[in-house]
Amino acid sequence: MIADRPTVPTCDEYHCITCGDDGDPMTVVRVDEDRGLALCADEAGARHTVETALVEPVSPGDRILVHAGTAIAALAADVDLLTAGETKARANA
Amino acid sequence: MKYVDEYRDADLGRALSGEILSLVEPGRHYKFMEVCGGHTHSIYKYGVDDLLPANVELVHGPGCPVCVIPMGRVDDGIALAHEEGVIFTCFGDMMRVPGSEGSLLEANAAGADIRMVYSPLDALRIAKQNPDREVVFFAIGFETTAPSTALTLKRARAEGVPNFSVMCSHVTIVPPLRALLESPDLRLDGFVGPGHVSTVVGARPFEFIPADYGKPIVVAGFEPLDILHAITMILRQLNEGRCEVENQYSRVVPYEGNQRALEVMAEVFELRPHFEWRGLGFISHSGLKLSEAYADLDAEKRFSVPGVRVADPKACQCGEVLKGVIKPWECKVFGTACTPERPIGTCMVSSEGACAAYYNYGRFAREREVV
Repeated sequence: MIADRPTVPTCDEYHCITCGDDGDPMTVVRVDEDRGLALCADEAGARHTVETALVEPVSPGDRILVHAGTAIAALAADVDLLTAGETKARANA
Repeated sequence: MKYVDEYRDADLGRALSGEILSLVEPGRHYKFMEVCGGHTHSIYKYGVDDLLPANVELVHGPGCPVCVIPMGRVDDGIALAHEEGVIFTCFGDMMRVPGSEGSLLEANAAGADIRMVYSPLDALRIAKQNPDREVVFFAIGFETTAPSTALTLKRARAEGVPNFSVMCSHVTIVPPLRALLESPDLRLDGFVGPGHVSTVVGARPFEFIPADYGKPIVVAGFEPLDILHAITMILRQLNEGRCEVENQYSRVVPYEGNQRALEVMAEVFELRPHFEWRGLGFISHSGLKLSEAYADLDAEKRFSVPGVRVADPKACQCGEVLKGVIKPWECKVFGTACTPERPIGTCMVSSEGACAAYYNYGRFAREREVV
């Protein structure tokens, strides 16, 4: 990843991306199909270069889950925690 | 923040906490292991265990890749970093893991060129920027991180970067779980399964846990509500006499995993016959090395690596902590001789290590009240 990443957890005194088994939701901004890379924005808008071979094809606007500079899963545009729905109903009951 | 805020909702947390209370059987002690270091970190960061009844105990598993790296492997990395002309790259926490004669951070201070990277792709970029130097990436991590290393190796091959190589210390999640389940000193009632590892391998590889050992496992996300919800799912299984693999983290984890990631891993890696785990000893087929097709990018073949086995420090009880036999604060050097600033054991190095999580969030030697 090449950009500053003030919002995505990085390896520092209090965190390790590998040990934390991190997955950061990002949005695809631009795709470089020839190189299998995409410029992506994290939740706060910081840009990152991400390897996309495992979730291709991707298009601008797609949501992906990124670990150690590699997209490991595609995220649905609008998902809700399947079971939080049940829990929510219980909380409101 | 989407995918985050809704899983930290206090009202939902209270509802789940109440549900857990209604599901536990008074007088029965429940012991669940959270396999992943990320779960351990979330539990202590958000105080999830304070929302549990006193008879529900969480045991911290071996799912922190830094915590399971043996001393000898660190010494090998340091020896490699001291090779003439080498730039040694690794993830941040690896820098502080103590070897028998210091850490990579201390080796850096002594003159070795060791650089922290956020991804294997960063290491490859350093190699391209320094064509006259050999760049070695110290690859650690479970199946979440291994595909990233594999793709970078494929890219190095495709782009023709001859000065890049990998010292592979990737590990796999299933063999240590089996080893733990075989351990006679560990009694567990169920597992909170790893989230992002399962994004790659899927939930299917954990079917042996209910089938062979009769324990339920629920693959869970990393937000506090994910963990609380996974615990309710395990309790429901126990109460209903069921024993199966369930997927609480279905918003990210497909039951079959990511086939492309599994294919690229199969192409680039092969299983080592044995790999040493700190505190757990040698476990068969639990570590990865580069396959023959990628042997020319294997740092252990390109350079002379000592491969010495070093016994863990006697004072350190990381092994018992990793097996959940003792709590971190029960170790005799916890918080005194062993602190995050000067760790003796690896569980104190990574903030996802059980000892560091307890130490950083002050959760030790305290009494809990029944919720």
